[in-house]
Amino acid sequence: MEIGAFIKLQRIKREMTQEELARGIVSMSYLSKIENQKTEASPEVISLLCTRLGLEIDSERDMTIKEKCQNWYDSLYEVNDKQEIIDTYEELNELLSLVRSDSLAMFEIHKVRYYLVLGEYDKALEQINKLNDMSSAFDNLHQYYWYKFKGNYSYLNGDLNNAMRMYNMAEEKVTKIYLKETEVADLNYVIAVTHSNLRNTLEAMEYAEKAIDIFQKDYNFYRCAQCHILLGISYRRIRMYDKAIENQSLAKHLGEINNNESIVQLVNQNLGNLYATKGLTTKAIHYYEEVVRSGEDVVKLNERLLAVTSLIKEYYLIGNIEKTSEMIDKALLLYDESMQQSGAHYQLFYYIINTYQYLINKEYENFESLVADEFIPYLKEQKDYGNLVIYAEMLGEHFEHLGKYKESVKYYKLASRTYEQIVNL
Amino acid sequence: MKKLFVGIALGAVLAAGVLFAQDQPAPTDLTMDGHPGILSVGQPSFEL
Repeated sequence: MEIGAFIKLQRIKREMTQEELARGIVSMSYLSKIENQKTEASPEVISLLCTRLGLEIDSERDMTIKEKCQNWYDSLYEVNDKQEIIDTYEELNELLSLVRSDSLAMFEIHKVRYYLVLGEYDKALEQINKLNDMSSAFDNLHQYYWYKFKGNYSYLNGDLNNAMRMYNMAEEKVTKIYLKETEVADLNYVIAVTHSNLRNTLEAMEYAEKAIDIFQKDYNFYRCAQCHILLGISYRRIRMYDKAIENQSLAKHLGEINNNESIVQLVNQNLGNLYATKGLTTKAIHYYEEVVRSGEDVVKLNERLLAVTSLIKEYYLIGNIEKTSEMIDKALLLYDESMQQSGAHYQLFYYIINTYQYLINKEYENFESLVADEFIPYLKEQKDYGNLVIYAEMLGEHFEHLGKYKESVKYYKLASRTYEQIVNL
Repeated sequence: MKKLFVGIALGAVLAAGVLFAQDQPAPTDLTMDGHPGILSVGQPSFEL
């Protein structure tokens, strides 16, 4: 990073105005030129500005910082103790506020990933906004991580299209810089996950294969398992069920030999989905039940909710009202628990649970008003086309049974148009 | 008259049904998948 951009970054970090920093050293307009790299200041001026910013210049110390930073960056990619990551962050943050180091820009960029890892999405966005102004001074390596982490942020925020745009921009940088193979594999992996979420199945497979090649060479079984799960999902979507089962089984095996129960349960959820797609309800129920039975430390609340709502659907499908009702009660308890943690994310489950509850209680007016007036508008707003097709069709069928053909056609048409939208995506 | 209207309406539903069925010769999978997480720190998670 150029010295001008570095000074600007440090000044913004300390919430100093240009006037405050320049006072008695240079004119404000000259400082502006230094910061924007329109002029090269003398070493004396740089030294005075650094002193005012409270920075030491120590190249030997900078080497140690660089090494420490690299270890910290690496720790943001593997399964590590979060407390250790926080402690190192605090140490580095303090060091870098005292010493003039070339590592500062990269450290500031990695803060975005750090906040994402800690689940502090607001802080990640704040950091992105803080760095936006500086991003024109980033070199190719900085830009690679800048785009990638902004992609990570967009993905976790549910904006998949923007995530893909950012990842593509990061990918364009790959040939221009030196990156470790595992870093390239991680980029391929996140692109694969994003494609898979966007239902771009073939692209998801292409990138998952690229990632798996590298993770295999690195003997990183945990990451290999993640890639096999992705491939399993993709093969199921193109109805190559044997290949799908093969990949999910491989992922499960890797999870088991690594004692990673979370991977095993993730595979169970996907095997449940696979058998549900094939219409083998009993088998699907078996796998979903496995997920529900696993410990709280293994399967998180939203994951458990996903499995329980999958069971509601399967039991309802085979007309087992007693078990459907039991699962609805279970889901409602989990939903209440989730509301105490954080509200918005679980809205989808609220609608699914209540839709089925009204159905089994034969409260058809409530069912109609919930699905037509709340659930469908919510799905449209969320652009959740998959669920929109399912519930618009469900409402269409319901009206058809009641002989309300005009209403029925309206929702069948919505399902049909939405379906076309998915196919054309 | 009423029967005629019901007949037309039923015809429309069936036509919509047929069109819908024709639109999906190879149905796109609508399953809510359990995707692995994108951050490897901690445990992988399902994403909707």
